[in-house]
Amino acid sequence: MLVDIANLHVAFPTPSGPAMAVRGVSLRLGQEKLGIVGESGSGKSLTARAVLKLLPGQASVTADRLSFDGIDVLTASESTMRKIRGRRAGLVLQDPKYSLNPIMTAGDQVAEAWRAHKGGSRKQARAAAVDLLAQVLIRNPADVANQYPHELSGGMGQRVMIAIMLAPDPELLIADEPTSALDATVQAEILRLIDDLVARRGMGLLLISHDLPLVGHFCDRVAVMYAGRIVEEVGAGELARARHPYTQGLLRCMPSLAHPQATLPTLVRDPSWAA
Amino acid sequence: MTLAAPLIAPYNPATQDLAHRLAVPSHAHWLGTDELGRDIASRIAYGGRITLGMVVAVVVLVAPLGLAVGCVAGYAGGMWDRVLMRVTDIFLAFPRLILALAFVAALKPGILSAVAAIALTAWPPYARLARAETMGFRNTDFIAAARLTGASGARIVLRHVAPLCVPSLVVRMTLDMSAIILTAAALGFLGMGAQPPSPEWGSMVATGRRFILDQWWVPTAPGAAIFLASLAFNLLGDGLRDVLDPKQGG
Amino acid sequence: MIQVDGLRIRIGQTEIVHGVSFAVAQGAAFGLVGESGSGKSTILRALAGLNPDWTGRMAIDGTPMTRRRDRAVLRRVQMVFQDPYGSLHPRQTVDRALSEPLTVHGIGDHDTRILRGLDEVALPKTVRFRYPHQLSGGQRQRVAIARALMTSPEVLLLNEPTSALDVSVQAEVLNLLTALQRGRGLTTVLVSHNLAVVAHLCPNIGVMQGGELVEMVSAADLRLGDIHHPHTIALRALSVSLPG
Repeated sequence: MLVDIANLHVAFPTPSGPAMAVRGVSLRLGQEKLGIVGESGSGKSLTARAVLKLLPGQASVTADRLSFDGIDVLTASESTMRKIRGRRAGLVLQDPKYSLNPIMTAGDQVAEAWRAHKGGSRKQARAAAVDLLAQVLIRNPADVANQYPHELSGGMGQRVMIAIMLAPDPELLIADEPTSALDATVQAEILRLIDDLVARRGMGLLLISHDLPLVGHFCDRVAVMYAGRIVEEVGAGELARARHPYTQGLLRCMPSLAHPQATLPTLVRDPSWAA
Repeated sequence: MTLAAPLIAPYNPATQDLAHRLAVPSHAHWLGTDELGRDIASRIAYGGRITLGMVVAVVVLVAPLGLAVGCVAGYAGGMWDRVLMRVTDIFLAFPRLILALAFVAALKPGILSAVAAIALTAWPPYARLARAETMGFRNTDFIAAARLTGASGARIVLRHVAPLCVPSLVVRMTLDMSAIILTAAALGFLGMGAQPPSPEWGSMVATGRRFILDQWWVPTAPGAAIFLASLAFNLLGDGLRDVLDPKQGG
Repeated sequence: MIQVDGLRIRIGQTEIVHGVSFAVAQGAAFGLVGESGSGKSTILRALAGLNPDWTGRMAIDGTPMTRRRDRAVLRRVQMVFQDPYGSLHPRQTVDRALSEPLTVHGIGDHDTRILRGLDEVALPKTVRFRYPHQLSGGQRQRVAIARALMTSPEVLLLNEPTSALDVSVQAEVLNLLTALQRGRGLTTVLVSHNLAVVAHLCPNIGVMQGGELVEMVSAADLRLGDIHHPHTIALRALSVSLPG
């Protein structure tokens, strides 16, 4: 089991006592594609970041079990975590504009990631970088390698970001809203690319998104989070048969081309969902 | 504290007591007396009013001027920006103390000309800061929304842009106050600021320096006052930044 | 109500929109869809008067639009922005945001109008003296809508009004916009990258690509797939391929 979480709690101190952001999440991930879906504030990103111990300093994390490939993340030292982060588990964030270094070329950034984990000469790293850029289906990798982030489109930037994450051959890829800053056509390409890479390299994928249909389409399983809990976990194909009223409500309140409605049904939040 | 100088000060700062000139700090005279037998503690308390009064006067002149210039330049852009910023650059190009000295020398030395001189050299950084902040806000949606209401440029600058620049200007101002204290004291020391016999910290150091070897407390006490006041303002600025800086959340 | 002919818009040195023409009838809702950089938002900003660097012809209710607008024209055309976090002044209360347009246009009776405005967008009276950071995303967008309506405009421009919101909140805001549009007879132009959102609100839709209007379709035809331009077909395929 790549990731094993049992009863994870994440709390933040506030003047009026600790605020629980994640309240007892349990999930397991092997070599598969697991989606976590929820609205803003549902705790989905925090859950994913807890796996890499990347939560802000003031957060207090407790869990019965929180492990990455058998390593206990809760008690792991910072140096152990550094070996996991970036090397065995990559993290792709929402907006490549902010996660790429603006004053380094794309090729240098990929090469640096590669060298940091594999060593080797500058020349080897450069060649590996171009090869990685080709793997993320950039048509002219040698040219793109010499470009700076501001010269790249959003989709291209996200490909470079993925190439950086793939450099050390990770076993797990965590993608936090990897496509929500991108256009629909580019979004489809990036997801296809991630899908292909995950299948080819036998990685595990944790995809965080607010887009339920998209995740349902793409992942093997979907965990729906609401107010810090997983309210439902369904196989991707069975999304239409989701049982929890929250999941059903989310699916229904979206405008759809195929099923026009004069007024959209709104989500009436039942306090018992959060209980 | 210096506001309460008349209450705190044990003696009249101008009263001379030649019998007790250059007295060692004692129970009667906490910080001793100077060459004319005046109580140094009292003179520092009164001198603080002058020094700090100058600082406040400078800040009151400088901050609104810098804010206005910076906001207009940043918001209007184009010609306005270029002209106003070149003027700012010209003032920025002079070393502060030298320009102030030249200015005071051209007028007659005194507190008012010292204030005017320091103000003249202190405003450009505020204009720069306000301009940079304004440029950041200029293209935001909430300014676009204000334009859509039909508000005039002046109204947008005054009511929407300027209030956003104030916090960082206030922080900058408190950090700047220590520099202003030092400049004011330096002018006093060089005889270009407050004139004797008024008890200004800088001129007190200047008159006291003759006694530094034998009666070290005479120049040291006002020097320490300058140091403590600068330090206090710097700490205040740091604290304010933590409270006001919008970039640090909250 | 809105007429746009041969509109070309530049931002700096680059021409972003290369000659776009469309018309929107009084009280109708028109949608513009396209990907980022297609020029749809640029058109909206020019219509609102936020970008003076355009050539061609724009008219609102027969009145040709000039580069510089006077207050009376601005009052008739209002806009709601994409990001509810960026479109409200961070240090102004809701009350201040709503009273500002009234003050500028010399409209009196602030109290009644503000309360009515809040009521119209289904916000409780208690939010009146709150600051934007004390409100949720959906509440802020409601405030932005209320602000746009304060001067009783005839034309409402919506720039991706729901794309920064959660889907459940999006549904509420879309319902609100539908009700306002019908109730007030507002002429509306909605810009979005989301085909389903545009088709939900607008019976007529223009598809933009690379600064040009490549196809005009009705929402009904779009649903049925009776469309011709390859870009429209591609966008529709992506939109319906996902279940839901």
